[in-house]
Amino acid sequence: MVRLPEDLSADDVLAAVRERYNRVGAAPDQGYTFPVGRAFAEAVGYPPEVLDALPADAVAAFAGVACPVPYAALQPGEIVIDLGCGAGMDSLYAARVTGPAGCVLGIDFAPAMVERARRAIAESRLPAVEARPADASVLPVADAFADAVIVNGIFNLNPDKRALMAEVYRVLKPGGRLVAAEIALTAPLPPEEGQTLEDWFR
Amino acid sequence: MVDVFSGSPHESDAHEFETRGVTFRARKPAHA
Repeated sequence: MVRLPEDLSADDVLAAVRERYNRVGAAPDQGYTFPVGRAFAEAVGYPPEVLDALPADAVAAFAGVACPVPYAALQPGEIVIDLGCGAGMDSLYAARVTGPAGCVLGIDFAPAMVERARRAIAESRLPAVEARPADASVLPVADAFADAVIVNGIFNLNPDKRALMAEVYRVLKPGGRLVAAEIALTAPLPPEEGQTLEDWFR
Repeated sequence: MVDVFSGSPHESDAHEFETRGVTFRARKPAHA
């Protein structure tokens, strides 16, 4: 568990994260302290032709940190969980690979993001992909459900990374794989930072 | 150069983000 300031609990942080990403899901162009949208998706490695093929509403609310899907070496027919799916961009990207014989399940705990992802899925008309609201540390699937889990920048947002990783381990099939894109500090934070909820989103 | 902060209040340090993130992979043991 990450050490938090005394007046902040893990639940406080998670509630703030849910509220912030709910706002992104509802209004991605309102300006946030982290980058959102297509220009950033291109900057972190999404090929423009991939973005062109995805629903614009999903791309507009992209709030990931990198482009993990190609690293997952997905195969047609595989079952994939997109953990923290946001507006569904990576879920749809993955579903184009896994195809009708596979299954992609996008999970997010921000209802406005799930709603946006569902609209994008409907617009894409891709089979075998869906988005559901759930807490990433209590996934609504059985043990050994997935061939692969994709994560695009949610470990940094959750104080209890061990619980997240344990749940990923539970839902993966034996031999299944996790591909996670994350941001990482290259030096310790100055003591004046990391003191408030707002610092969590810098 | 893409302005990835177009429309944002430019309060973040992420504009100095040059590494394109960290991507890690892990595999669950086949006989776990």
